[in-house]
This record gives sequence, structure tokens and C-alpha cells, in this order.
Amino acid sequence: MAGSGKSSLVSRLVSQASEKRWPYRAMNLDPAVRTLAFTADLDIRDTVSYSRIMEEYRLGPNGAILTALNLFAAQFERVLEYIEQECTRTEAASSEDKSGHPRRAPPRYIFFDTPGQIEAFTWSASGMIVTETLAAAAEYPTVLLFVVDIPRCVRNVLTFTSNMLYACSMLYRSRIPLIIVWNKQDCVPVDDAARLESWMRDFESFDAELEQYDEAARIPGGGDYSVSFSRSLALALNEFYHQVPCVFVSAHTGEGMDSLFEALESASDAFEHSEYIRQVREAKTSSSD
Amino acid sequence: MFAQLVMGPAGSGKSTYCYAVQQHGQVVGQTVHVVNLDPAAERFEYAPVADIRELVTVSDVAEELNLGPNGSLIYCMEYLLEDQEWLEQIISDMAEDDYLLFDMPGQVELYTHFECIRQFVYLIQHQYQVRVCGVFLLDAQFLADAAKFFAGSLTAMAAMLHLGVPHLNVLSKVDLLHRQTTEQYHSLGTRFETPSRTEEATAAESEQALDDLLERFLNPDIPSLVAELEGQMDARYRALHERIGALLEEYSIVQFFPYSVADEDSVGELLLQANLLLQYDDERDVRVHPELD
Repeated sequence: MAGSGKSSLVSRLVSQASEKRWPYRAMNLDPAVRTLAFTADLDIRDTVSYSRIMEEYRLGPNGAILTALNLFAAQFERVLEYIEQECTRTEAASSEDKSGHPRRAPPRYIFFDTPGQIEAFTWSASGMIVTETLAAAAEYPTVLLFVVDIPRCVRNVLTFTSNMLYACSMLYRSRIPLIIVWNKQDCVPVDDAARLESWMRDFESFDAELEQYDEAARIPGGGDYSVSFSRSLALALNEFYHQVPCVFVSAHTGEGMDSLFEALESASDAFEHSEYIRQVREAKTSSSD
Repeated sequence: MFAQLVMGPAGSGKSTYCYAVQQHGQVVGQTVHVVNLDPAAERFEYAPVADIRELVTVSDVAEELNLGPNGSLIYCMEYLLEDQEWLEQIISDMAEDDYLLFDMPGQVELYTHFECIRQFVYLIQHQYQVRVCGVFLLDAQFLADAAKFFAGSLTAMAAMLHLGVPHLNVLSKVDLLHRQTTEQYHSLGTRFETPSRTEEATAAESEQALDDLLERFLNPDIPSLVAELEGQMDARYRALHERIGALLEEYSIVQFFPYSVADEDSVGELLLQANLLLQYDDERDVRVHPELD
């Protein structure tokens, strides 16, 4: 989500990876970003200029972002070629790096920063092309990080719920592993993070919180109907938290990043053993017959 | 006064929907005014009764305050709420049973993260006594299978919950589904599920398949969708499918109405459904036939 700190998270992932001497590459997919918090190996802004698209196609900011992404997605095979080339780099070539910087060795991780307007990526053909090319065509273990802003969510249970519904929608849309990354832990008192955790762990407390909103007539329907609705909603989301890993981090201070890397490892493992990749492989074998 | 808030991701066809409803309104004698509330809108076919860009535009804000596209949008929406004069003027120019469509910005964050749209709804409901319903559009091409159907419904539900007004879900551009060739359709979502079958299908067969597909999602049978999901995803998500299925069923959000700008009947049906939500005809009948009271 916009303002949840995606770029700072990518920047923190990058700095932690290099500290741990894990080779990585970082890519920027946001055509409208002004200053990038990390050094990108590939940057959509080098290929397409957001402001020129606005001028040339006479588009507003939204249309320009979508068009830039579409143009980029149409060329995504070249990104894939680049990744393949990087992955097959020989160790010998990488050891030439005088500084001993692990960056140029075949990457263990590739981080993608996505546009601020989340639906430009999630509800567009181009976002689908990017994720499907990585996950299905190239079969790279691909994991979605859904970054959420703790301070905004803890203030309002409905904001929290809308975000979780959206995260859940992402899981269904992509069918690849998803990690919920609660960011900006440094900005809230410990109690607040605990409060979020209790909403996720204990559906009774979440249900009670939601019902308070029912009384304030915030949820349509009103009366008994909405009480039962908040209960089914709490139950459904509760199951979602059981199945989807979730970590609390601060991209700003670096707190919790180890647990994020651990979650990444197990999610990539889950990807390898998923029904999704099994079906992808099966489809490939049957179509090559 | 009655109003539809027309929402949906960028490119889902919000502006075209507004135009189609306005045109249809003329045919059936229901005057429909459209207000553009997307400060980053590019062009639309309808004639707006008011346009937020008269007040503020994203490009001006971006330039003057040096904000990115998202920050500028939020700034514009907050500006709209602060300077209520503009809104007040529009509403005071309306008659008591006038009908408004608000063409909203597409950014999902507005419906999950930020308070401004919720405040806007609260304001027009309580201060100006406007009866409001939400219309959420989703492009039909993104609802190709059970998993994507769940994804779409959950996104719609997030918006619905956030605004707390009666809600109508619309599957837009259904005519484009029909027009797609087998090959295009093949690349849109069923790529990995049924490659050989779609490849062999003739054009007529694929059109029939599309009709069936559409029918499945317009009148969804949740247990069969859950069964399909079990085949699509890891076994550990099974309980999740069931619980979300129960949620969708219980709250009847699963109902999507088909719409295509080329099909006048579908537009008429949508207007009828929205009128039902708004209790538009009840109110009007009372006024038109006072002797029945």
C-alpha cells in the first residue's frame, strides 16, 4: 500500500543482504518514484519515462503509470534474460570484485519494488505478466511481501480489516506464497503491536472490536445481520492468519529483519512444494507432448 | 437526493459506466447528473454537472507541492473536504429527488488506508441528506477462475466494509470477453489450467465456454467454487476457502451484475438494482401520487 514503506523495506532488505554477504539484485518497478532509497540493478525509469508518457500520450498520472507498466511488461522477457544471465555467472567472475562485495555473484535474492498505487500492479494485466513470468514461466520461487503500516491499522479496526481482506485477495489472485510484513514497528508503542497481534491470534477479541463498529452503524445491514457478518469475517480472517506467515519489522531501524529472512526461506520452500508449481510443471509437460 | 459512488480499479470502466447510466436515464426519463471526483481524470464522455478539476487537479498539486501522484491525490481529496463550499454549491443546485453519480478515483488505498472517502460519504449522508449506495466495478477479464473470483470479491468487500453503505458489484466489459479470440483468452488466465482443451476449441465452442464461465460467476455456487479452489491451491488453505465461501454466501456480496456499455438492457438492469438499494422509486411514487398516502 502507498506510504507503507515499500521502498524503505527494499532498501533495508538490500542492506541486510549485503551485510550477510548474500548476493542479490534489486529492481525498481515504480515508474513514478522520484528518489529511490536503494541502488537498482534494473530500473523501469531507465526504459520508460513516466513524464514523457504523460506528455506524448496526453495521459494523467494514473494512465501514465499503467501505460509505463504495460510497456515494461511487454519487454519483460528481456528482464528475464538479464536474470538468467546473472544467475549463471560463474563464481570466478564474481571473485574478481576487488571490494569482496557479494553483489555481483549469482543472486540468492531478487527484490522488486512495486508502484505505490497498488492496484496498478495487482489489478492490471502487466502486474500479472510480471508475477506469472517469474513464478510460472521461469519457475523462480516467487513470494509476495504485503507491506502494511502498523500505525494506520492499529488506529482503526476497519482499516486493519480492509487491509487484511486485500491481502487475502492477493493470495487468491496470485496463488503464490504471501508474507504479511507489518512495518514501522519503531513508530508505535509495544502495546500497539501486541494489540494487532491479539486481533490476529484471538478472533474473539477481534470480533468484539468489530462489533463496536456495528453499533456505530458503520457496517451496512445493521442489527443482528451485521453481528453475524462480523463473526464470519473474524472467523475467515482468523483462518487466513493461521495459514499466512506474518512478521513485524521496522525498515527504519532494521528490527525484525532476521525473522523476515527466515519467513522468506520457508515461503520459498512452500513455493517449491506448492500445488501451483506442480500444476505449472504438469501443464508444461503435457503441452510439450 | 440520491447518489451512486462509482468505484473500481483504474481501467475498470467507471467513467464509461457513468456515461452509459446517464444516457440510459435520458431514455427512461430519469435525470442523472454525473460529478467527476477523480482529480487525475483524463477524459470522459459524459457531460459532468461538476468536476473536481475545477477546484483542484493532481498535476497542479504535484507541481506546486512537489508531491508524487499518490500524495497529490490524497491532498486533493482532503482539499475537497476542507473547502466544502464547492460541494455545497453542487448540492444546493440540485432538486430534492435528483440523482447523482460520483465518478470516484481508482486508487485502492483510498478505500483501505485513508479516511477521506469515508468522511466524504459521511458528510453527504448526514449533512446534505443524500441517500448513497456504492457501485463497485471489476473488469470481467480478471475473473477467469475460482481463485480470481475470490480475489475480486474480497477486494470489493474491503471497499464495502470501509464505506458502510449499501453496495452493488458490477462485472464490467463482459462484451469484451465474447470478442476475445480463443488465443487471447487462452493467455489471460487459463494458461496453466487447461491448455490443450482451449487450444483445440473452436471459436463457437469457446464462446459457449465463455457464456458458461460468466454464468458461473454471476450466479456462483459457492461449494463448487470451493471444490475448484481445492484443486488450484495447497491443501492447507482448504479451511480458508470454506470460511471465505461462507462469508461471501452469507453477506450476498457474491452477486455480481453483468454490464457492458454496448448492452442497453444491462445498463437498465443496473440502474434498477441501484434504485432498489436506494429505495428511489418508493420515495418518488409517494411524491408523484400523494393521494395514495
